[in-house]
Amino acid sequence: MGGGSAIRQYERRFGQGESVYEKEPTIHGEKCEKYEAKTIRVFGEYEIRKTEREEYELLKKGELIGKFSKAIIEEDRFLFPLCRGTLLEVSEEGLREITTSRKAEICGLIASDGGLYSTREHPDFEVHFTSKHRELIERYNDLFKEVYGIEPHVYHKRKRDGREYFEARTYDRGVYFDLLDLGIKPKAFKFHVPFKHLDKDGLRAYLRGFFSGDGNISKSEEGFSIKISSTCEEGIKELWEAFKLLGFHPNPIHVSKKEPPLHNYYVFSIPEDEYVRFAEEIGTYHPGRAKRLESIRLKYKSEEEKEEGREG
Amino acid sequence: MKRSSEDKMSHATVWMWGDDLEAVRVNSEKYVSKRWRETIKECVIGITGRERDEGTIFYLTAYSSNPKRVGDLAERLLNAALNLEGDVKVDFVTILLSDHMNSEKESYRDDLEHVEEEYKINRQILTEKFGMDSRVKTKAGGREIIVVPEMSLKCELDSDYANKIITDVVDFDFQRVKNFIHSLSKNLIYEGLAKHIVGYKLFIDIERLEIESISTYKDKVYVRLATLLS
Repeated sequence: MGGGSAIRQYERRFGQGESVYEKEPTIHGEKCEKYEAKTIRVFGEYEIRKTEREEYELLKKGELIGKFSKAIIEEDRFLFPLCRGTLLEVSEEGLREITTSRKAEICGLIASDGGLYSTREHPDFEVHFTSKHRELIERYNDLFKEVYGIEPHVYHKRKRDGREYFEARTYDRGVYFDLLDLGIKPKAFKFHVPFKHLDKDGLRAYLRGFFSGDGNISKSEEGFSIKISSTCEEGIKELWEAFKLLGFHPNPIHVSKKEPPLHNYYVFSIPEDEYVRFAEEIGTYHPGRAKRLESIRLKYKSEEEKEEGREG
Repeated sequence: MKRSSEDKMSHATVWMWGDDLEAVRVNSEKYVSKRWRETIKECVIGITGRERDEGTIFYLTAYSSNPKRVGDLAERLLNAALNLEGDVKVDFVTILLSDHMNSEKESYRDDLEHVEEEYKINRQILTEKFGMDSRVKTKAGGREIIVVPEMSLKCELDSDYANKIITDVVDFDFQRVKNFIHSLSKNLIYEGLAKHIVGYKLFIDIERLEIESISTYKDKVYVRLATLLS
């Protein structure tokens, strides 16, 4: 959707100034100005050129489909920043829109402890995140400001015995539909991992967000245990799959089965030989868990070093 | 009725994480006034929650035959749960209207000594069963094997306000389960919802438990057992 001509829409989304061409390329048939441009990379039918004005042009089968002022160049892909925490990824696999790590972390936080709410009767376009921890609310708000340029309003809920809850909320139609379109929370009961829109960094950030909400690190006679739990079976299976995609070997999902009106819980844990990797790659902004994770990291790291010393 | 949704004809979720605390009473009362029929014998209120510092799962169930009390009961149960120590999250408050007296079937009358004895016996049986497993034997290599089964401890509470209240705590750590069930019961008594503890019952599903993980700690091998998702 959106107003204006197709060219205007493309320019608003991808265009960051005028570009230059060697062979009179067109945007949807409309001729563009001629400038020198050099092909710097080809991915299948996609070609990326750099102009003398330091701009990037993206062509598909010779036709210009976008121009950008910035690009993140990696060995196997180009990333062009779009709006609202979205990147256009061009690689041998083709073209796809992915989220930045920051937006992926917001998605993980919302999937665990947040939600999207709007109905025909109450068209509030509400996006919310609830936590007992001020630190997590601050993290959510910082991410939100960077991605959407909006600072969520924080509601402070104090219960009668003095216990506190915080809730960050926005009521913005654009933000609501942007997150709804990713399919992260199709219903209040359900969540999904937006695999199509996540690269490996995005997956890690999504898991960090989710773990900051619905994760836990317990300590008992057998040492520490890192777990993730949810009432959503589909969602927990996807989280398990996400860890597998990152090369982790999560333990099998187990279930605490109950009859209505109670709900089942689904839980899986991370094997102990992957605790250090979990701490270094995933991590958390939950204050209590971050502290425990750091002590786990130091303990296992020193054991690994001792082991290496013995072998050496 | 904001965010209240019916799963089936007979039960509805009246509150979930993120909703305003006041919504639980309003939604419960609306649901009951709309759905209570002459044939309804009892309303079952279920609280599904977790303490996320240690990962303990808990359930609260209260039974009432008085439709006028359901809203208040649901709100006070939610308060009792949210007032627990730690990073508590209540996922759902769900109510079910039934043509039967479900509370009569829920009777847990063991004392704690019996529960502890039963826990020891169950662990012994499981050690014999899983100590023979090739994965455990390989990892153990002669070291002591400790089986750690996931368990559910239920506690029946007497109440003047409801027909009955049941607490149910699920975890791998027996001590944590006991401590948690005491905190829950204490909160329910403090809220004026329960009078005293009637008894307990331990549930360890020996037949369905499978190996969830095997780990080593301080020269011991720990085998965690749980009901795996098929």
